[in-house]
Amino acid sequence: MNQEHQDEHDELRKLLPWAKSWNQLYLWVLGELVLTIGLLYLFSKAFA
Amino acid sequence: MSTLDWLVLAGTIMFIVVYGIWKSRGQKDARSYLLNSESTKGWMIGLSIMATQASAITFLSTPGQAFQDGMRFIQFYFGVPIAMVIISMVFIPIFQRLKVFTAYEYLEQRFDLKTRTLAASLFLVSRGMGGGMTIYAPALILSALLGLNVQLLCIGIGLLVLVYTVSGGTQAVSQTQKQQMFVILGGMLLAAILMVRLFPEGVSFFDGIKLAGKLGKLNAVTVPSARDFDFKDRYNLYSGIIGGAFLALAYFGTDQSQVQRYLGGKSLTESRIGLLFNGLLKVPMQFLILFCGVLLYVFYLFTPPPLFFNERVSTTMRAQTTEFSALEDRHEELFLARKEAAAKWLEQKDAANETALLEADQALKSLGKEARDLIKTTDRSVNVNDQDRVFLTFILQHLPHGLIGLLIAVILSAAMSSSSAELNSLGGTTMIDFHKRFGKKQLSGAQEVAWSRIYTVVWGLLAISFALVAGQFENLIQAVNILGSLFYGTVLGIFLTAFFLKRVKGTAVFVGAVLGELVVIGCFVLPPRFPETLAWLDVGFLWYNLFGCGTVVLVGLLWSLFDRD
Repeated sequence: MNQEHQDEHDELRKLLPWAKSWNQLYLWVLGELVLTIGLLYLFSKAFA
Repeated sequence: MSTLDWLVLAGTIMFIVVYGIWKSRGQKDARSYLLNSESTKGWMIGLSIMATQASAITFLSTPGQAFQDGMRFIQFYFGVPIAMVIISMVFIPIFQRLKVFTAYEYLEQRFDLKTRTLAASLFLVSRGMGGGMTIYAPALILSALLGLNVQLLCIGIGLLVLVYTVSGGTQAVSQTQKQQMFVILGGMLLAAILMVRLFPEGVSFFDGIKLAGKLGKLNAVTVPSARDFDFKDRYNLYSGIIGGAFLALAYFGTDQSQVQRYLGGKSLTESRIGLLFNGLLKVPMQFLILFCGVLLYVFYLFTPPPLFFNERVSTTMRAQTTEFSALEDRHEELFLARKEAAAKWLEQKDAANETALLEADQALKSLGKEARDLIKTTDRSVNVNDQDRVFLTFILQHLPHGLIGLLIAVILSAAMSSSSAELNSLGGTTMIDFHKRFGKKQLSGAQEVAWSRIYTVVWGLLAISFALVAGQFENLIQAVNILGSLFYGTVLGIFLTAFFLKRVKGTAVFVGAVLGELVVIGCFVLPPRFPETLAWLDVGFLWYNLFGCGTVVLVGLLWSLFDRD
């Protein structure tokens, strides 16, 4: 199982060299969601 | 439509059909026919996932939704990134490790045969009917274009989709999806730019946004307070994040038409990247599409819109009653008054001008309602919801020739691709979860492909039948999502129990699933019949997912507490 994880990690680094781990990618996606909601909220308030 | 438009349109459709047939060569067994072995790159999987969800309905109906109700529909997609992360973390590793062909195969390994069959059946019912919607949407376009009967067109388009789906299989479907997604996004961007360019002289893009905001069309995030919170409110921040996440989790994680996209990935990493790609781009993409609807509203503040966005109905009404023509005359007067009020407000944004603008807008809306009531009174069989035709009317009446053909071709090809992916997964699930599972004979590779094709044809014919009655729904995109929400919660509950509640066994989850489905159908069917006594059951459809899923998990847990086995 550890070897499997290592292979997966290597493949991730090969495909996305800037990504340190899957958790970091997940945080990016969720962070973008929070940012988007925040921006949309400000957008709707600014022009209401 | 000019000759150039028709050439572009016919060329694209023919290309898809020929491409599908050409791609059908060399498929020897169900695995090569139903799983997409070439979609190995993560971004390609991501595009394929997006293309499967974004059909012609998205392209036509979403701008209409924003035109009528503003941008708050975008909150429906807030749950998607959350769902993508959960599926990447939990669902994909299990599906990949067990090397399952359909998501439901896993349920037999985890629970038992009856639970697998129940989940697969729920998928077939919901997706079979959803497939009808996907065929109806492009039929609507052509009916407006050619003045032909929508139902005849449903049959024609459905059969055309069937031809290339049956011969092409998943591989051809996903290859075309990749190209179509680029064209779709490019097309929407182009349409948005053209709308702004068609604003009258002196009205800038920012003026347009200010007007849209003032008229309540930029309500992208609505956060009800605890006192104002209402379960009936379909789109707000809470229903979007919680209900939307459950719906997205069920759709992307358990609906075979989506699971099939990433099961074909070369590796776990590629499949995960594909899903995260979708999580990152989904909300911005929907923003663009909804924003087109908002710009359309601003465009029609300065360009006279029709009283009713279905010219055939309007023509019939004019012939049948003078009242409709009188309403059209009043509509023209009110449009001019609103146009003047908008121009004045842009010149001077004071309270008096703001009130005048809001009142003029409200007067036009009231007149629209009056017209719909009149149509309904005159002919009860007419669908009075015309918002799906708003964007289409703009394309046909205001875009330059050549581009009209291109946009119609994009809509049609997206619809066909999405529809074919659905039919493909329906045929695949019937083959794998029913025929292969319950059949006593060992099938050869060629027989597997042949049976998969037969099932795809059967589902195609059923989808066409459902498309014939799809026009009765209030808004297509909403109808598709309501339909999905009737079943998704239960299926999701089964999968979540499978992943996280190890002590719950087959019978417990089966009982939970049956009760969960009854709860959801009860929420949908009972309140309109007993509005006095069961008003508390009347909730926005996004909550169905949570209720269905919660019932399965809770009943499963409780049952397993008393089940000694």
